[in-house]
Amino acid sequence: MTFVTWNEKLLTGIREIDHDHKMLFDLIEQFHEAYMSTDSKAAMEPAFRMLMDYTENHFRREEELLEKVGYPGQAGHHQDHEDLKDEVLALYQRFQNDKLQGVENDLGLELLSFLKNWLEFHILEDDMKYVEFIRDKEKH
Amino acid sequence: MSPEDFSFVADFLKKKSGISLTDDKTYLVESRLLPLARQHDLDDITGLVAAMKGGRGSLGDHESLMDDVLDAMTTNETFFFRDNKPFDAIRKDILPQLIERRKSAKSLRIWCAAASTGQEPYSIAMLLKEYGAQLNDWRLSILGTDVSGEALKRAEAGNYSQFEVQRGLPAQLLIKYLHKEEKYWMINSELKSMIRYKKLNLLSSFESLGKFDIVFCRNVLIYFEVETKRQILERISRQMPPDGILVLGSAETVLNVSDHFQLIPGLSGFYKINPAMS
Ligand SMILES: C[S@@+](CC[C@H](N)C(=O)[O-])C[C@H]1O[C@@H](n2cnc3c(N)ncnc32)[C@H](O)[C@@H]1O
Ligand SMILES: [Fe+2]
Ligand SMILES: [Fe+2]
Repeated sequence: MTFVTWNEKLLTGIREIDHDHKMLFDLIEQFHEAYMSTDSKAAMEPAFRMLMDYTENHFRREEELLEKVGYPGQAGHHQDHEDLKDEVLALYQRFQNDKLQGVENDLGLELLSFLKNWLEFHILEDDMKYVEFIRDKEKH
Repeated sequence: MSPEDFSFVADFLKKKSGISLTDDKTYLVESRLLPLARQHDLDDITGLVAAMKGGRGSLGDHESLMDDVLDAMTTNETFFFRDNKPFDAIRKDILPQLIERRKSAKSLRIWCAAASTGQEPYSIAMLLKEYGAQLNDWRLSILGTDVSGEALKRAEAGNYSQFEVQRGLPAQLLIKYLHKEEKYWMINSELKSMIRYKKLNLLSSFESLGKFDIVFCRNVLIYFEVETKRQILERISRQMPPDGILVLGSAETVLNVSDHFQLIPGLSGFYKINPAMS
């Protein structure tokens, strides 16, 4: 069952970026599927690695674009990306190290909700700012 | 991914499962196949497509690679009591009449033709269990089929996450028919015993399955082109007695697709056999 879906509100109008974002949503979806279909944390590892690698590539592509267009908030945006990565990795470590199972200690779901929220929030709040900048620039 | 690789995958998928992909779904093909490429130790999607073309390794390897691609590309979204309304209609309008007509045989066969991860067949099983004493000594059997082996594995296991049971499954049914084990909710064995699962591609022949009083074919025809839909609907009609009932998804219709079925007035999503065509 669908855990996250991309929606029109997230559309940036920049083809490569939208493609990446849609892919990230689907990779989170697949991580959720892996989480549900196995009890073994080791078996979830590939889906998580895939997501993190793709995230990293996306961040790099995005930052290159910001560099190219001379986006003034570039340094801050880079920092946002770094913070996000750190936070996800820390949560993932806690999840992997956790011996406890059950709802009370369900770090897996916590990690998944975090992923879902950060992606949506980061696109809507942070990415949209550079999108606006690029649009303005194109108008002039 | 390159347009050539995309069209190769799209063609394969169409031929193998009937699913037709438009090129705005490129991202989906990529996000499903990239993990698969890694799993098979291939560098990227180009490598995966080459392996699909080349029949790399032994024949068995190649076949399982193609199966994996198909599994990865199917959309298995489903949930318990999806759309609610059809289940209410079965309870209130369909079952009372069907029970009356089958009261001497005391048997009902139901087919879930796109069972996915099992939520739909389990919902039907719960509905029948909850229907009341009238069905107590009946033979009730549900067959769940799907083309995705991975989805069927989950259906057979009957384990669901908190998130999956939260949407659609009323609390009193949850505690009655499932039990919690570690992080999963598991379907009780009594309910499980009502359902048999079988891997089946709707494009291939299913004559040998026999006749079904009710056929659920929800949210799968939407992935097919009209001609494919038409053929499948016609073949489904042959697996039903003259008074059988077909249930489609809320976004689906037989209108302009097949003359073998007629909408049951007042019951959206429910179809009966068109007597003029059988
Ligand atoms: C979106 S799910 C629908 C599940 C359920 N019927 C519902 O409505 O919630 C679609 C299912 O159709 C299956 N499917 C796709 N092509 C198929 C084919 N050619 N034969 C059988 N099943 C197929 C997929 O594997 C997937 O599990
Ligand atoms: Fe982004
Ligand atoms: Fe970003």
